[in-house]
Amino acid sequence: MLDEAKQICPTTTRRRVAEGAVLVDVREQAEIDRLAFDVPGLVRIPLGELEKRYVELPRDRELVLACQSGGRSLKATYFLMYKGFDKVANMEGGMAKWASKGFPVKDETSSQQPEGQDVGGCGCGTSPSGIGSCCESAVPGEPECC
Amino acid sequence: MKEIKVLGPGCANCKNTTSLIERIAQEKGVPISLAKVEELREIMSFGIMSTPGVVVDGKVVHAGGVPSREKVELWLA
Repeated sequence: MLDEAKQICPTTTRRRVAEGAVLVDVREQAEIDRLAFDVPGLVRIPLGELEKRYVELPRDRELVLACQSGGRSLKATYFLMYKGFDKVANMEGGMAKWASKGFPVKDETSSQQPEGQDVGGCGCGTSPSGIGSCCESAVPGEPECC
Repeated sequence: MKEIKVLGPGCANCKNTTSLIERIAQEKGVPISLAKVEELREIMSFGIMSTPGVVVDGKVVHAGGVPSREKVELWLA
């Protein structure tokens, strides 16, 4: 049995990407056309192509998988774990939570950026003291996750 | 006794696959132990990306869609 997948919130994801992690968007092209992550070094592999294309992903860098709400990317995370990737995490809440926090996105059809909404904390739905909370990984000195 | 697992999130195809295996095993008088695996982590522990998946005696024999009767009969032979 695989270990439980590591899950991190968009705030932590953004920090990890700034530190060198690769964000992997597993959504379909139509979804990306509606709203795309505006993140340097982003890799796009739709979930349906992952079995064939996972070899394109680097094994020596941290990977954070993302989709629209976090469900498909969790499956993708487990798939990569099955294939022996050990530096993978799922971004909880996906694009929906990322965009709600006002993090960088590209609307590739109109090039407008949506207004960020204050959802309170990281919106991860876990309390700061909760076990498994994404907030556990918040680093002193960094913007608080929750 | 063959140990069979049907892997899937509980979709219609998963239920149909389970029923098909049960029915054919009964018709052929083959004793089986049939388990449904619906938890994502356990499903992915078999590397299954397309469900339903079928595992017979620990080996993945099928992934994606309801298997044919002929295929199921081969598993139970």
